[in-house]
Amino acid sequence: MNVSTASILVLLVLLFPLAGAALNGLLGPVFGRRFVNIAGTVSIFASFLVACLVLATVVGAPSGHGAITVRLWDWINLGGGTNLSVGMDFTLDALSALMLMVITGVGFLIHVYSVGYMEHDTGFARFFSYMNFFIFSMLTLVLAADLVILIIGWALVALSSYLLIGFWHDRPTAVAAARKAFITQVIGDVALVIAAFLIVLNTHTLSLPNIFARTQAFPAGGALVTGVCVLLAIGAFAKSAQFPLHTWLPDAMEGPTPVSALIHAATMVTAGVYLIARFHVLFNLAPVAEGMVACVGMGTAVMAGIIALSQIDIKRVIAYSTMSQIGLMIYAVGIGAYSAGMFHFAMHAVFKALLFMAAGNVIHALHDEQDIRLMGGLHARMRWTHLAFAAGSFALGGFFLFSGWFSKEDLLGFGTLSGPGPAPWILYAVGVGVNVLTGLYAFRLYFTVFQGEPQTARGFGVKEAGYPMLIPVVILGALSVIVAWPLQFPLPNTLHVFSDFLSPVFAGSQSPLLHDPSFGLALVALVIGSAASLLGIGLAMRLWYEHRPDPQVVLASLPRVIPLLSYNKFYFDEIYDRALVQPVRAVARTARRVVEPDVMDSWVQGIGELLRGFSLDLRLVQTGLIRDYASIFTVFAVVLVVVWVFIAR
Amino acid sequence: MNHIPWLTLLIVLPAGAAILLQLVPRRLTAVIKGLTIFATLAGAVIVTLLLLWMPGNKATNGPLPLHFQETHAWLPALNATYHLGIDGISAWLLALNAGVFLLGALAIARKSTDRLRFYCTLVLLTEAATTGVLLSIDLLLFYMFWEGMLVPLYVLLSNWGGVKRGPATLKFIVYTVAGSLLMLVAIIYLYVQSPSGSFDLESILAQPISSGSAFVIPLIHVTTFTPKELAFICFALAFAIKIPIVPFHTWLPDLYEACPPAVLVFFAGVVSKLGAYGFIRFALTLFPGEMEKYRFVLAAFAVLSIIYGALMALSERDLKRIVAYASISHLGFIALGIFSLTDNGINGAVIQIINHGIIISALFLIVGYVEARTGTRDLGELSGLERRMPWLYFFFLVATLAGLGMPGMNSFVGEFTIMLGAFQLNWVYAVLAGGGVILAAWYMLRLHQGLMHDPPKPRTEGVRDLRIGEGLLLAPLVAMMIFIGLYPKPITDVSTGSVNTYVSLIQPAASNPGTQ
Repeated sequence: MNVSTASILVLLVLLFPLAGAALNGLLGPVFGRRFVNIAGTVSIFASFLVACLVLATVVGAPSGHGAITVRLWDWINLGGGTNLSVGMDFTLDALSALMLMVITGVGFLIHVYSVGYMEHDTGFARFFSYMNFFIFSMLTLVLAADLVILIIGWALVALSSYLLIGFWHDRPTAVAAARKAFITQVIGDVALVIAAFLIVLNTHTLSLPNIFARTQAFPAGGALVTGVCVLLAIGAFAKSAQFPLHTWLPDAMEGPTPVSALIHAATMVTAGVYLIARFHVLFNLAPVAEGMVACVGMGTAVMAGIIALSQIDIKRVIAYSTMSQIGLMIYAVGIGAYSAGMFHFAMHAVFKALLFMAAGNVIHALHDEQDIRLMGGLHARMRWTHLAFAAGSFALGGFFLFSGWFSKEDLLGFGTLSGPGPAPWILYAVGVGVNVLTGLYAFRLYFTVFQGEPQTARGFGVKEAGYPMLIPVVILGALSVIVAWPLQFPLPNTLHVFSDFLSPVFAGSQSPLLHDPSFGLALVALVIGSAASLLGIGLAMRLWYEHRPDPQVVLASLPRVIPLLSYNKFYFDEIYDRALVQPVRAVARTARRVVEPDVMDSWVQGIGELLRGFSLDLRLVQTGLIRDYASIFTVFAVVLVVVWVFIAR
Repeated sequence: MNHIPWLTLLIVLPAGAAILLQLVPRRLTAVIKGLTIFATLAGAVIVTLLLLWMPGNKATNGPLPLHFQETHAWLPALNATYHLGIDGISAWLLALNAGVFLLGALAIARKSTDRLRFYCTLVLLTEAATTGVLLSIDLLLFYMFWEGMLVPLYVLLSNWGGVKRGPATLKFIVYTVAGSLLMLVAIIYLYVQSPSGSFDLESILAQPISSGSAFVIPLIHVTTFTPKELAFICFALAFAIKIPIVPFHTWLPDLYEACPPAVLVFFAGVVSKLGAYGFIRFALTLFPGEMEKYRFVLAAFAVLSIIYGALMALSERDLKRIVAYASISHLGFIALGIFSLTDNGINGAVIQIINHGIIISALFLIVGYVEARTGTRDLGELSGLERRMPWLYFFFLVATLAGLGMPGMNSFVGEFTIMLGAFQLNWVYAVLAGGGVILAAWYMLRLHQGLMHDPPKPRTEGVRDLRIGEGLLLAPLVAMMIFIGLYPKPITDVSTGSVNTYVSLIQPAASNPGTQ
């Protein structure tokens, strides 16, 4: 692959979705629904075909020549001491090819699904325009070969997410959710920008390949590289909804369900995982930052898993499940198991998009009902959706030989290899606990929604979804069973097509936290992990299959504090509101009511008043009496003489 | 082409058109509008040509490399000269100046105004004065244009302003004149002290002025500022009031609130940038040592402007006042870039001066359209305009994103480089400015969503979308917001050379590349 071929591929893969966005936005309202449906889906399919071509060229390239960087144009060139020089650079390598495949592949299926989902919405043109624009932004993010361009893609993704969360802009809750998501993303952007400053001031470049080639600027384990990595991680946490920047994701479920499937499950929220994987060279130099990332990831995984157990909104359960699964991916890239993290990302994209879309079918069939307490017994009435959802649940729960099993066990297996000290083992044990939790909440949802008997009159009359909404679900359902089979087996020295594919990207540097794999340990870990998943699924079955208690009842047997925390999402929204939002508002109000009139303006007015008063007083001097003028004259003359004699000599 | 006095032409064109207008009968409004647009358009064309010719034009060899220089004796008795010239920084400001006045002329032409001929005359005279400010190299000439600008502005505001125009205009005029008078004192000091006895910036720079010994207060023997430092403070105050930097900003919100929309376009678009320009052109060159000595204090005031403006924008309810305080916050970024005294920061300031002119003009036009349709500027009475006004929504969305510094939009380029410069000064400034960016997202979205989303209210029922003419005014602004965001290189390619000259005046070491 030469530079000009690569440039054309990059341009094509980016321009198809962008053209789709422009066509739908400008001409969609004129030409109508059929035009929008075609333009919206075909543009992504075309992009998917180009992505396949990229994959083929990357796979087919001789080893060591799989990565190529192209510059479309110069962005800025300031020279000087800093040598701030940025180009519109894009890179094609195994990692970006993988991301391209997932984004355009899963993205295309979700676009097809949207044709059905948005059938009765009047804003269809706007919707497809935003969706296509999202794909464009996400592709920009993963193709960028310069930190500034990456930040641009990073922010464009947040923008499309903002637009789509607030898609139903007459709903105040959706509008507020969109704003919250966007502002959280800006916090992450600022962290990335400051990381970029540290990088460019020390390496005099922002081009990713050059940064990674100049690691001599970053002493291993030093404060500088740790600071850079922590800032990058903050950006990643904001995007991937990790503690403490996670509160926007559940609210983001205010958007239409295809949006949740595409942006808040499969692609955008995993960008943080991608970012850390992309910067693995730096993270490998900063074990402290790596440890922090791993702890945050695992902590979020547990927290979100606990919250998912008690939520009653079908989409929010899946949203917390997403947060938890991304926590696992973040944990993986934190301990240096980059390809394992990316593998779970790919598998998760498939089964989580599926779960969201199947949930969308359910919501549609029940006329926008989202409360799982009012669902049930759908298995006989929505057979294909049920089958696909079951497949997705098994994959999410990590049932033997489903795609999620391969990726999650692979990921946790690396947990046994991380060191040194007892902390990694604690994290690993927590990870096993997350497996139990995952089985529990996944099947709590499945059993409550699909098994038992309908809980409302409407539940008896539901119909299966139409083809545009069913076919993508069924395809992804089949994929979430088989997709992992030819790719990777969670034991060393067995099947590792996937990690071999990514190895040129990650081979250059090795995390100091990771030992060499051993077959025996991996086997033990595999057995423990699988057993934990089974335990979770079995518990869920015992608790919710047929008996059908209130979905929240199981937690009631635990100490009161746990269900309380779980149901109230650990009170993060309330804490942030009291500790950040309200104080800033109060300060702003004080500034307007007190500081501006009484401090800022008062001294200006004060000078004016002073001069006015002075001149009023001075007016009294003009008495018109010669003796007054003469005495003033004398006094000043004396003063002047004194000054001249004693001071100004 | 080199024999044509292009720069003089730039001043004479609007001034001449203003005189010519007096010959046109008052009722021929089309002719009056046409002549005004023609004069501003011709200015814009000349500036564009100058920008294109500049790379091929040989600069002068003086301490400030200048292009298209013109020097004539002006007041021989005082040794004041008619000295005009542009460099990579003022060229962009000129472009902005020509652009916003063209926009203002077009906005005036779109609606009927009473006493139109007088109105247009004043607008053209203002343009002549601001152009002169940007072209003058001679301090006395600069001062003349700087003060001259206030006369037509004062008449404009006091005749066509809104309800509270009286006190607002008075405050503005007294405030700025107080600042300028201080500057006049400093200019006279420089004239007296300079060995060449000249008002010409280049001659003054050629032979540095000694800072003199510090005043010692008699009897108590406290050492205070040197005379040169005092002169610097006078200049700094004049420019700080003009920008404005908090706490010298209180004239701005009241004035913007009282300002008619068409005037606001060029008032907010360019007049407020002249303070920033003054800092670069005169404070940096004449007082490099003083700038370096006080850079941390000055940058702290800039950061205060960013945060304070953002907080005020967050709590105001009046659309114009929100945009006015947002403007103060953005101008704080420009000031921060200049005070960082780094090439990155000053380049960023130049980019941001242009960006801010584009964004703030667009925002004020949008606010004007909304007010004209709904009859209110109260955020609490407005909502749900997106469905009624899809085109306005789109333009406003882009302007909002540009206003909050969204990566990929024009202001990101400026804020990124400015914050990089601030980071080089001290990382704390960059982090605090980052806090300003987060607040910007908050207040801009509050404004945007408040107007556009949620169910409509009584005031916003049945409003009509933009007319074609209104859309055509906004479209080029929005296009530039996106274009500069994707390809800022043309701007910095012109400005970098001049910025390096200024920076080398301050830190001779900074001009050596490859520092490690």
